[in-house]
Amino acid sequence: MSAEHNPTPLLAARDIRKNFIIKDDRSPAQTLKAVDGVSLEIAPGEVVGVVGESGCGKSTLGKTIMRMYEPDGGSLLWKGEDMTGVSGTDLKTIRKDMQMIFQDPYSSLNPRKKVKDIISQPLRVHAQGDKEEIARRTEEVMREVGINPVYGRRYPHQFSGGQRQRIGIARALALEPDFVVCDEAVSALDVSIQAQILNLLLDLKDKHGFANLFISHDLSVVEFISQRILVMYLGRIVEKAPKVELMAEPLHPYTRALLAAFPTADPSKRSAKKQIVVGDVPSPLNPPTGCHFHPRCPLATDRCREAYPPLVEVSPGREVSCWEVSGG
Amino acid sequence: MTDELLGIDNLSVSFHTRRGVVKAVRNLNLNIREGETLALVGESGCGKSVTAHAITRLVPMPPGVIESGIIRFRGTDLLSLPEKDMRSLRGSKISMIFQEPMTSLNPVFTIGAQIAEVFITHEKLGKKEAFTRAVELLDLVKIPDPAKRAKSYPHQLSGGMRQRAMIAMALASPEPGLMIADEPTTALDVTIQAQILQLLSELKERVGMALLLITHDMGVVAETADRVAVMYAGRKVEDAPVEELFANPRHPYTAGLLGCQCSAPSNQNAARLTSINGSVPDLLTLGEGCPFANRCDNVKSECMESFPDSSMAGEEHEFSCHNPISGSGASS
Repeated sequence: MSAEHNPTPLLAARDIRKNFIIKDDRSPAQTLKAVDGVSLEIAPGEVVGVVGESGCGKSTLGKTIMRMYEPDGGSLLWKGEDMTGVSGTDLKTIRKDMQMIFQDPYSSLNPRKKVKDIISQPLRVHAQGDKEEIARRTEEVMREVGINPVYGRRYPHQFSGGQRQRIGIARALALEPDFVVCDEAVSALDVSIQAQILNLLLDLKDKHGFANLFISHDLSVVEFISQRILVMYLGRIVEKAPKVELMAEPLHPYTRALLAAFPTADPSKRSAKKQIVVGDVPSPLNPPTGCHFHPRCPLATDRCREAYPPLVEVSPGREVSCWEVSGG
Repeated sequence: MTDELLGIDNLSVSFHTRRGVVKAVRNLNLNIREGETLALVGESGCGKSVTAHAITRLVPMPPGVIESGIIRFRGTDLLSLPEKDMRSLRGSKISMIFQEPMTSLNPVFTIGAQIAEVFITHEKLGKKEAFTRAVELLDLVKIPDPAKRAKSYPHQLSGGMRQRAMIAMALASPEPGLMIADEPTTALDVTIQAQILQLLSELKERVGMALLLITHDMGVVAETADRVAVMYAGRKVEDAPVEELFANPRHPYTAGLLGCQCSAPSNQNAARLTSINGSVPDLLTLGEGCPFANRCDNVKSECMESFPDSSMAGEEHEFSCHNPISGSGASS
């Protein structure tokens, strides 16, 4: 329902939903609403960060947008065309332009395949030229991510974590996609390697101009790489804002709590008594009524306990879902 | 150092594996004073956890070998202590909490029973009394409804609550002197991390214990530590009070580590992060030179040949580098 600020977004999700049915032998089946009505737009070449704590649905959102999970509701528009019900060859054509980079560089690469075969697989699947052309493109993309092509005959276990993540990036970029989802792409790496990989992603983005949905629990990483940030809590977006505005003045009480909780790497700014949010994240299986954040929220009123506040645009490009902030 | 709680001199720990000898910790000197928080920082494989295991004598032997060194705790050499005495020290005067509380709590006992066990073992209390004390401790670590929670099993608690229960267990002694916290908040969400860090510093004040905080997160260091020791590939490269270290790092690795954090002040509005080239060397093939030499911008020929002796920059700032960053250069 939000106002659009881009004439044709590269990708738009409208009220997207993804449920999981949780069953065990003792209790009746329950529905976990992992993504519960999320709308977002990504412009060509834009980097949008998604931040939230475990169980907030950020990874499910990424996979649903890629249609690795089938959405249970809502629609997805790819370059203005509905891709929700698309299947077969048409879906394959769209997928060529959307790729994903995963968190764990150990489990996301097939240990029994040579690196050059891992990287060239998307080229072969989408029949991008003959053998020589594919080999040439594979070497080119390996050089781009900083892996010497002479190592193409090695296996994933012969590389370090950072190098493996470069291999994952090469595989994602081999087809020159327009859109890349990074799901915790640097979270498993040591910080000196994390910085190398983030810089590499930015270099490649500048060169190729792909749009990026960057999913992470780490606010500082999301802040560094993104132009806009979406904050998620228990399956819903609670705040959307351009990065600079969000960091300067977070509006939603949860965003404020997240920013306050994040340690700053500057001991002279150590605050004596920080405002730390109380309590745990509730189970997404059984979220609180009304606004999901109300049990932990310092501003909560009766209204928050009764009804979920809609995302309301409070200034251009800035939306927040809170009765106390936007008034509804 | 008058009020030394723990002193480590020239500690070297190796692991003899089939592929060769891994020198996990080399010639480490470290001091912790009564009541202070010392952060031991570095990336994976730098030897920070092995150091903690050496202090508690929990290095698996074999394959581990303590090649040399002395570890003094309030004047007693821990490495030559009989195992029986070491056992009574562990969990009473030196306690430890780990990254993943689920794997360090016993899944088939209630958390109340597990905490009570510490009192039964170390203070020879009866079961009932020990359980009452356990409930008091759960209250101290701010677990809501402690009497009921004491009867919960670990899997019934959230990650944050489990870590609180671990902390309660670590406090279950008459006079905890040193708590070793090995990545205590790494597995937790950031709002829960903030709660646990605040709890740890409150308890530290209240009980008067020292904290050895092992972490890779410079943000956590900046928020909690009094002093910081930086390790790289088994070596301590720098050791300084926290504000001094952040404002005035002398070792190029420390400067690099600070610079490549996304939240570092120098990266605000920067187009690219400051980064360190290359990756951590293989501990199997380390030579006698400085292990950071192949990634260092300040590298000189002697860096390849020998690891530098430590130098002092001021009274409490120690670093080991042949070609350090000049002291005045980084002040902001």
